[in-house]
Amino acid sequence: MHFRKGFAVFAVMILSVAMVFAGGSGESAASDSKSVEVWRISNPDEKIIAAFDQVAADFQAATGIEVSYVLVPTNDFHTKLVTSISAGVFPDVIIWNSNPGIEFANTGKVHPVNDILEEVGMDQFGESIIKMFEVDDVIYEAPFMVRPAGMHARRDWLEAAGYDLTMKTDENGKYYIEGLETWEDLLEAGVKITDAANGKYGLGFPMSRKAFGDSAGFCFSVIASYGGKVLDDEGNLAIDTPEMRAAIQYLIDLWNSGAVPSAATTWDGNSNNQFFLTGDIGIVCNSNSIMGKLNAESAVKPEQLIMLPLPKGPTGHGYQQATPESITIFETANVANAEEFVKYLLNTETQLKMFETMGFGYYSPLKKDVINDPMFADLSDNEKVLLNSGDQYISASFPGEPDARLTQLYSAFFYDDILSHIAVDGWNVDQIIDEMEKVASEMLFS
Amino acid sequence: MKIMPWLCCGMIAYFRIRYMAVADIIKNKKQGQLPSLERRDNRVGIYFLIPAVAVLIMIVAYPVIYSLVMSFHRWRPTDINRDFVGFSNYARVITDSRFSQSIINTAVYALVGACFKVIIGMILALMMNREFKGRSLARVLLMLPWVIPVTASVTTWNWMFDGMYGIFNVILMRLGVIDEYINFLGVRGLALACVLIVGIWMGYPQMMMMILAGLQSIPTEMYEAAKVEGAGPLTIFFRITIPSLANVLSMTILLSIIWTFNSFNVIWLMTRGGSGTHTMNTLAYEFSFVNMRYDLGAAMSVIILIFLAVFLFIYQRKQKED
Repeated sequence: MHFRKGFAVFAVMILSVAMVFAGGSGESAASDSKSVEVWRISNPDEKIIAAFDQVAADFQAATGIEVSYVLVPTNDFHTKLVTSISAGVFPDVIIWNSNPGIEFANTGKVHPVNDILEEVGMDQFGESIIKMFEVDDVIYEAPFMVRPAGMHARRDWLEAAGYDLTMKTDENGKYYIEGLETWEDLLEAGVKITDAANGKYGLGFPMSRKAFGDSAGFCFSVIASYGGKVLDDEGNLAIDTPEMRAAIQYLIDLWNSGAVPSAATTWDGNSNNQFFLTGDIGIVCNSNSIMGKLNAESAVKPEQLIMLPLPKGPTGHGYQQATPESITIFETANVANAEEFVKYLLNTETQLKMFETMGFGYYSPLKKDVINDPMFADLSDNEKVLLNSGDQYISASFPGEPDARLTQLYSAFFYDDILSHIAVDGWNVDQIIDEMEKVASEMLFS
Repeated sequence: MKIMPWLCCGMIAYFRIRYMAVADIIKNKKQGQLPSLERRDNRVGIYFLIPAVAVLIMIVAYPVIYSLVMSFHRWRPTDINRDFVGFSNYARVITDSRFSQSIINTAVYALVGACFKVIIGMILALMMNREFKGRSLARVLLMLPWVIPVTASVTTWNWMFDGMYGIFNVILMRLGVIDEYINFLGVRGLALACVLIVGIWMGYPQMMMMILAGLQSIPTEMYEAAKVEGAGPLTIFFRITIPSLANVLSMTILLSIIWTFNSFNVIWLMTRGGSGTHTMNTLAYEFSFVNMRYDLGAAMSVIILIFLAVFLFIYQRKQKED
C-alpha cells in the first residue's frame, strides 16, 4: 500500500515537472547549429513553392545547413510575428513585405545586414530601396524581391469607352497612356465604364478593414501621389495640409461617383481580384496575381487585360505602396547560418534560378544584375509596365526616412479606416482630418 | 534556466505537503490514533491535485496577473521600455471613441444573442423531445452549426451577406422586396444585426442540448397526470415544463450570456470590428495586436474581466442555491 502510494506520488511529481517543462522555457527555439528557420508568406502557387524548395535543397547541399520554412498566411503574418516576439521566440529569418526589421528594431533583436549587402554589392539595389530599410546608417532588412503592384484594367471596356490605349514613353522613360495619366483621369474612366444596372463597376478599390493591405495600400498611394503626409521633416504631425485635404476629397469623390461598388466596404483581400476575374470590375489596383490566372477558359481573357501605368497626383508623380519583400535576420543562436542563407538568397545565380522556376510576375527582381539578365529582355507588354513602375514603389514611411511608428500606423487600420469613414460613415474632409490627427497623435506620440 | 524556479517551487510544495502528512501521522500516533481512511484518502487526493492546481496557476492565474501588471505599465511588443504609468492606460481606453460603442454592442450582442439562442434552443428542444420519424437525423442536422468549424461557416455567411453576389440580396431582389442590393455588412446597425444572426445561429444548438437534457429529466408521470386532469398544451407548458426547467433555464441563460459576452471570432472574421460592430473583445484584440499596444489591450481585458465578474458572481450564487 505504501509502495503504491509512494509510486503514485512520484508519478504525480514527474507529471508536474513534465508539465512545467512543457510550458516552454521562453528562450529562442533556434539552437541547432545546422539549421535555419525561415518564415515566409504561404502562397499556393506551385511554381513559387518549387522555387523556394529548390533553393533550400541547393543550400543544404552546398553548406550542410538545413532550411525549414514556416509558411504563414499573409493576414496572420503580423499577428504571429508580434506574439512570437512577445513570447521571446524569434525566427532566424523572415521574408516578408511589411518592414518587420524596422518595426522591431527597437527590441534590439534585429541583426543588421550592412555587411551582407556590402558583400553582395550595395549598388545592386538602388538608393531608394536601401533607404526603405535603413535607420541611422544601420540597414535592418535586405531587399529581396518585390511583388509588383499595378492597375489591372479591362482593355475592351476602356476601348469601348473611347480610349486609345497606345502606350507611350515620356522623357524619363516612364510609360503613360493619354487620358489615363492621373487619378482624376482614372476616376473619369471608371465612371465612363460603370454600368451599375448590369452589375458592372469601373473601379474595384477595396474600402474595408478586411482587405488589409489592399485598401490601405490604395489609400496611401493616393495620399502620397497628392503630396499628403503624416509627419513633416522635423517629425511633427503634418496631416492637415492642402495636399492631404485634396487627397481625401478625391477619395470622397471617388466613393460618391458610384464607380466603386458599395460592397467594397466589406471586401477582403481577394475580393477585388475575384470580381475582376469574374468580369464585374473594370480596373483594380493589386499585386500581380491576376495575370497568371487569365487563360482561354477564364471569364476574362488574357488579351482583355491591360496594365495601366501608375496614375499620378497633382505632384506629377505616381506612387504605389508596395514595400519590397525583404529578408530580416533575428539575433538567435543560428545567426551565422542565417547570414549564410541570406547571402545565398541574394546571390545573382540563385535569384536567376528562382525566376527561371517561378517566372516573372508574382515576384519581380530588385537586383540590377538580375533585372538586366537576358531572361528579362523578352517580357510581355503588361509585364514591361510592371517592371517600368519598379521605382515608384514606396514604403509606409514615405516620404520620410523609415520610421517604425509609421509602419505600425499603416498596419493599425489607419488608412483603411479613412476609407471606412468615407464609405460607411459618410464623413467629410474636416471630420476625417480631425480623426486622422487624433489617431496619429495617439499612436505616434504617446 | 527559467525552469529552475518552477522546479524549486514544485519540490518545495511537494516536500511541504509530504512533511505535513508525515507530521500528521506522527501526531496521531503519539495521541494513540491511527489516521482515518478518509483522511488518508484526502491526503492522496491533495497530491493528485497538484498538477491540476499547477496547470490552473499557469494558464489562468498567471495570465490574469500578468495582464493586470501589464495594464499599469507602458508595454509594447516593439519597445523594451516598460515604465510604470499608473491608470493612464485605463484612462486612454475609457476615453477612446470606440469604447462606449463597444460596451453597447457587447451588451446588445450578449443579451439579445443569449435571449434568442435560448428561445430558439427551447423551441427546438421541445420539438426534439417528441417522438417522430427521423428524430435522430433532425438532431444531427440541428447540431451542425455548432459542429462546423467557425471559419468555414463564417466564410459561407460572408458570401450570403455579400453586397454583390449574396444569396440574400438575390432572394430579396427576386421577391421584389428591394430594388437595389443591400450592403449588409457595410451599414452601421445592419452589420451588427448580421453578426448577431450568425452568432445566434452558431450558439443555439448548445442551448438546445442543455434544455433538451433538462426536458428529458422531467418525469413523464407529471405530464400524464396533467392530461388526465384535462390540462391543455399551454397549461402543461407553463405549469409543468417551465417550472421544472426553471433551474436549467436560468443557468442556461446565464452561461449563454457569459459565452456570448466572450465571443470574438464571428465579429472579427466578418467585419474586423468595422461598420460599428466592435465589441469589447474585438477592441481589446485590436489594441493589442493591430495597434501593437499590449498595455491598452491588457487594460481593456481587465475592464472586461470586471464586467464578467458580475455574471460570474451571479452564476456562483445560483450554483450555491442549487
